[in-house]
Amino acid sequence: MLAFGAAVAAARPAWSQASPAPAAPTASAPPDAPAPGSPPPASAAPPAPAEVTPPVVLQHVDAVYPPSALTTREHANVVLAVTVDADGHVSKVDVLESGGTDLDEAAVVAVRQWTFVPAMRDGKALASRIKIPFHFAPPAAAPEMVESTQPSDRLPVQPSVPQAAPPTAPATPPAAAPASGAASTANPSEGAASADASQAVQEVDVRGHLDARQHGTSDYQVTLGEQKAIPRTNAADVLKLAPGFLLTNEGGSGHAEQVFLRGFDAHEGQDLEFTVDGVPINDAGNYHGNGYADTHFIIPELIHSVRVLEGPYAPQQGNFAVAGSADYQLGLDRRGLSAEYSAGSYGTQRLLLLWGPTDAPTGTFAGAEYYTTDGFGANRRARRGTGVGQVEIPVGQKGTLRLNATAYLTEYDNAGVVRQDDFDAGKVGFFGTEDPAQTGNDSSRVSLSATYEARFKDIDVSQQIFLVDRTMRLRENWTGFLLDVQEPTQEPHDQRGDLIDFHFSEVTAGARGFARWHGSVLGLRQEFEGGYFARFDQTTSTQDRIASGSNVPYLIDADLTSTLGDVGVYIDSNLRVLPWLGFRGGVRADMFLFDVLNNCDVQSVDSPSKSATEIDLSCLSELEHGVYREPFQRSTTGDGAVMPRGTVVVGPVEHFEVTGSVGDGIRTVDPSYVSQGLVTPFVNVQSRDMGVAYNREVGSDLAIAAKSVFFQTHVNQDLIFDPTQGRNTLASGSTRTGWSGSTRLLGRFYDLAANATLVKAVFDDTGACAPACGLLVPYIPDLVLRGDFVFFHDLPVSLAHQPVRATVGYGVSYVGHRPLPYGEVSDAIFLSDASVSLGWTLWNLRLSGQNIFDSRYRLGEYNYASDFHKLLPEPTLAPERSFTAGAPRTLMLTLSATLGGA
Amino acid sequence: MMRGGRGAAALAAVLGALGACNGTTGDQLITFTAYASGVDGASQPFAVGGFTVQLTAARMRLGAVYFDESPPSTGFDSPVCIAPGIYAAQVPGPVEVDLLSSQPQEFSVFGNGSADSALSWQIWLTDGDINESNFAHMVDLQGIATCDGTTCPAGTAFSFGAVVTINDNRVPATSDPAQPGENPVCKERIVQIGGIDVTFFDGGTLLVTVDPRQWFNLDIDFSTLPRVTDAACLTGDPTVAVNPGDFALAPETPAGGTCGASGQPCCAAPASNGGCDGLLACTSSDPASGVCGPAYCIPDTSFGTGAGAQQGVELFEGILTGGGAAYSVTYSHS
Repeated sequence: MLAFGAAVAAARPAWSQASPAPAAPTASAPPDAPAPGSPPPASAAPPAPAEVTPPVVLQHVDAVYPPSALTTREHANVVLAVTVDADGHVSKVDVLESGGTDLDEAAVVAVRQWTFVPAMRDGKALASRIKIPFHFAPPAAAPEMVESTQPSDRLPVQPSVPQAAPPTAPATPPAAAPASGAASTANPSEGAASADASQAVQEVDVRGHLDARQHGTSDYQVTLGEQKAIPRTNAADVLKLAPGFLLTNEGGSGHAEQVFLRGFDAHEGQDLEFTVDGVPINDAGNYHGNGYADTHFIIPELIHSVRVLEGPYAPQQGNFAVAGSADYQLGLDRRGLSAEYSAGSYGTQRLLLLWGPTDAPTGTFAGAEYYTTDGFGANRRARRGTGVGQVEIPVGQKGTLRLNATAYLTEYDNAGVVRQDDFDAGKVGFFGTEDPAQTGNDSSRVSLSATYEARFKDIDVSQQIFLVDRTMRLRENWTGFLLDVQEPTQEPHDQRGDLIDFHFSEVTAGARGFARWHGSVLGLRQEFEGGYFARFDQTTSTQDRIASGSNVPYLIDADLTSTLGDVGVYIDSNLRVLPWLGFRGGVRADMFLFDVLNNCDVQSVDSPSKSATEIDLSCLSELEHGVYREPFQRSTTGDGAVMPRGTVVVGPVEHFEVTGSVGDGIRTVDPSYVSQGLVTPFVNVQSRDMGVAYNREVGSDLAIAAKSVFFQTHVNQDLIFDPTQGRNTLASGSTRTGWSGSTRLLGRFYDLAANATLVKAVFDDTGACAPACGLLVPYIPDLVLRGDFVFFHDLPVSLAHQPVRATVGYGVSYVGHRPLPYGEVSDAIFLSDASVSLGWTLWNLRLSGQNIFDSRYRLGEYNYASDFHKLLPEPTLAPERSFTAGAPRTLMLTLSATLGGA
Repeated sequence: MMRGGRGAAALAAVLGALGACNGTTGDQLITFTAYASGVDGASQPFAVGGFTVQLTAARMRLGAVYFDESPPSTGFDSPVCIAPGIYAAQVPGPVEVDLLSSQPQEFSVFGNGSADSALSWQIWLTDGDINESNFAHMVDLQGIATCDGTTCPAGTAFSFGAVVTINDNRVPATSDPAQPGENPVCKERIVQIGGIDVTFFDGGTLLVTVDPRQWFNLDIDFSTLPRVTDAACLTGDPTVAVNPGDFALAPETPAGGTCGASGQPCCAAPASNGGCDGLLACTSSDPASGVCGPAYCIPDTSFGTGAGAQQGVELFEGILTGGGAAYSVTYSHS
C-alpha cells in the first residue's frame, strides 16, 4: 500500500481497517511501524475544551533505540505525558507507560528536545499537557512511513506541524487532525482548573479512530491531500488513485459507474465491496445488478481518504469483495464554513456548502451540494442534491461516538448506446441517442449510522449500526425493437419496443463490530481481532417493458420481493514471529439467506385453455390446459461459506517489504436466479498475489512509496455483461492474471502519483492451456495507466501582505484496447485532466478541465444484435458495433471561500 | 481451484504479453457481398401434375435473408418471426430477382455477421415491416401450362399469370380464442429452410438461388383456373389486380385477329387449325387499345371460394414450403 495512505489512515482510519503505519500519538501505535525510536507524529487532534487549540509539534527529534536493548531486540511502547509551556518548550515529562528503563530514558531524552506551537485560548498561549507514545523496534525492521493529514507543504512524514501554513492552505491544520488510536486517559483535573489561564496546564485528550491493519501489497490507503487539485466529479473517480481502475458509465450521470479492476468488470460495482466508513453501499437483491453500488451520494470534497484492498485478503471483507473492496473515509480537513460555486460547460452548475467547526475533529462536519447540468449531448441532463452531517462526540474518557446522516437524490436522463452504422450513416450524432425515451431515471438514498470506538486497556472495540433506505429507477433501451416476440396468447402485435423501466427499493439494517486485543508475545507486539457483520435487506425489484410512443408498460419482465440476510463472523490476527516476519490474516464465515417471492412467475403457457381470459397478461394464473395456479412462486435458499485469508509479510531489508497473500471470497447472485432454482446463492472466488513495497523518506524533503504486485484471481461463475438484457448474467468460470504497480512521490511542493495495471482475463473452459491461453473475457482492458501530478507553492507575489498560493494539477489516463465479443477490439483511450487554482486568504479560484484535448472517444463499445429502425426497414439481427460516447472537453470555473477555520 | 503450475504459466504468459492485447474472445465479425439468381433451365418446359409448364416470366422480391445458427424451429415457433441472438449472418436489404436468369443479381446492401456456421436460414418476403400487411408484389409469374391429357384434352394450353401479395389474403383466422396471436402476418412472410451447414468468413460471397419450378410441386390444376376477367382474379386492391396488362408480351406470330396497337393477335404459338388456341388474351376488343396477356390467373389469395381457390393455396404453400429444392445458398470466396 502507499505509505502515505498508511500514515493518513492512521490519522483517519476506517472503522475497522487499519493502515500499517498509523501516526498514532497514543499507545495504539501499530506493531508494524518499527522505525527505530521514531515516534508517530504527535498530530494530536484533541477534543479539547471548546476554546482551546492544542499544541502542535514544531520540531521533533527521533528517539534512538538504545544499544542496551539490541540484545533482546524487543519491541516496546513508551507513553509519556509531556507538559508544554506557553513558550512551546517541554517543561515536564512523566512516563505513563514504561517500556523499560533504557527505552524510557531514550524517549524522554528525545522529547525534551522537541519544540511546539503552544496551546492557544482566545489568542493567548498557555501551557498544556499531552500524551506522546513512542514505539521502539529494532533497526533491522523495515520502517513504515508515518503520515499526517497535514497540508502538503509539509511532508506527511513530518509530525503534523505546518512549517508555514499559508492562509489558504486547504488541508486541516495539524491541531485539528485526529490521531489514530483510541482516546487517552486524560486526567482533566491536572491543571485544568487553574485561574491563570496563561499558565494553566491544560490536559488535552487525544482521541481518534481505530486504524486498520494492512493486508499485503495490494492494500492501498490513499489520502487525497493535494491530489484534491485534480478535478474529480464523483467519489468513484477517487478510486483512480489506486492502480488499475477504469471507470465507464453508459447510464447517465446518476447511474452507478462501471468499474474495471484487476480484470473484473465490476459492472456498476458488483465485484467490489463499497463502504463509506463501514456502512455498506452495494445493493443486495438488485435485479438490475446484484451489488449495484451508487457512490454519487458521497460529496468528493468530504472524502478524506479511501482504502482500496485489491483482492479478498482481509477477513473484514465481506460480500461482493471479488476484485477487492473500497472503503471511503469521510472527513473535512478544511475547517470553517466554506462555500463553493462552480459553473462551466453545458450549463453545468454546482453549489457546495461545507462546515467544519474549527475546534472539532475532521470527522465532525456538514455538507450540502446541489448540482445541475444540461449535459454534453442528447439525454444527458441531470440534477442532484445531497446533504450529509456527521459529528464525533467523545464518550467517557476513552471512547468516540460518530453519528452520520446522509440524504441524496438525483434525477437524470440516459443516452444509452449509439449504433456505429447509424452514426456512419448520419442518422444519429456521436453524442446523440437512439431512443430519446430513456428519461426519468432517478436514485435516492437516506442513511443513518452510529459508530462507537473505544480502547479499554489492551482491547480496542468498535460497534456500528446502520440503516439505509435506497430507491432507484432506470430506463434503458439496449436493443431497440428486437425482443418483443409474438406469443400465441397475446393479441397480434408488432415490435412494441425494448425500453425497460426498472425500479428497485431497499431497506437495509445492519451492524458490525469487532474487538481487537494487542499484547506482547515473544517480545513482539501481537494482535487478535474478532468481529462480526450482519445485514438484512428487504427489497423489491420490478422491470417492465415500455411501448414506444405510448410510454405504456406492456410486459412485466420481473417482479421480485426479497428478504435477504447476511451474517458473517471472522477472526483476524496480526502476528510477528520475528521482527522482520509477520502474518496477518484469519478466516471469515458468512451465512446467506434468500427468501424470494416471484410475483410474476408465469409468463407464457404453451397450451392455454380455450376459455382462458387472461391471454394477454405477463403474469398468468394458468398452467397448461387451463389448470389454475397463482401467478407467484416463492423460493428460499441459504448457504454458507468459510473463507480463509492470509498475508505473509517479510521485511528483512530496510525500506522494503515483501508480501504474499491468498484469500477466498464470495459474491451473491441476484434473487432471480434463486427463483429459477439456484441452490447456492453465491459464487466462489480464490485469489492470490505477491508483491513488494518500498517506502522511504529522503531527508525531510521527499517521501517515496512504490509497490509492485503480481496477482491471480479465479471465480467459479463469472458475471458477463449481456447487452441484450442490459445487465450482467452468470457465465462460466474465469481466471484473471496480471501485474499492477504504483508509485507516489511527496515533496514540499509536489505530490506525484502514477500507477499501471496489466491483466489478462480468460474463461477457464476455453482452452486446454487455460488460463494461459483461453478465450478472453470481453470488455476487460489489458492495460490501464494513470498519472496524477500536483504542484503547489506560494507565488513570489502577495496581496495585502498575504501570500498567494498556486496549485497546478494534471491527470492523465490511458486505457489499452479492450477485447470485444466476436474477436474485435475497442479503441484505446487517452485522456487528460487539469486544473489551476489560486488561493488567497479565504478565497480560492480554480479552473479545471476534463478531457482537455477534447478527444472524441468511445467510453464503452459493444458487439451485439440490436435494431433501432433507423437505418433499414428490415431488422438487423446479426451483431453490430455499438458504443457509448465519452464526454468531450468540459471546463469548470470554481470560486470558493472559507470563513473561520484555522 | 488454484492451480500452481498453470498459474505460473499464466504469469509467464502475462509477462510475455506486456502491453499487448494477446488473445481473442473468439469468433469474428464479417462482411460479405450478396447475390441472388434463378437457376439454369428455369425457362425451359417441365412436367408437373399432368401438365407441361413453361415459365415465361418469374420475378421474386427477397426482402432480406437471415442465417440462423440453430436448426429450423418447429411448432408455434416455426418460423419464429424475430428470434434475437442466434443469427450468424444477415443481408438486411432487398433484391428484385429475375428467376429465369442464372446471372447473379446483387442485393441492395452488403451482408454482415460473425464467423459462425448456420444450420438454417430464412427468406423474408417483405417490403417494409415484416408485421405489415400490404399489397407489394412478392412474386410475379407468367407461363403456359399445356395439358398432357390426364385431366384435360392433351395439348390444351393455358396461359396463366400469378401475383403473390401478403396481407389478410394469406393470414388464417385464429381457431383458438385463447390464442389470438397464433397466426401473425409475420409468419406468412418468412420462408424457412433447413438442412444447410454454411460457415461464414470475412470477405466471402453469398449466392441465393431460387428455382421457381419447385413451387408447382403441389400439382396445380391449370385447367380450372379462372379467366383473368373473373372476379377471382381481382384482389381487393385494384392497383394490384391481376391485370393482363401486367403481363404484356410482345405479339406472337399472327394467326388471325389482332390486339391493340400492335395489330397482331395474341398467340404464343399457332394452333393446328391455324388460329390461336387461347393462349393469350387481349385485354380489349378495341383494336386501338389493349395488350396481350395471360388468359388465366392463379388467384392471389389462400382463402378463395370459387374457381382457382385451391390453386391459390397451392401456389403460396409451394412458395413457403419449397424447402431446399426451391431455395439453395452457397458461400464462397470472392
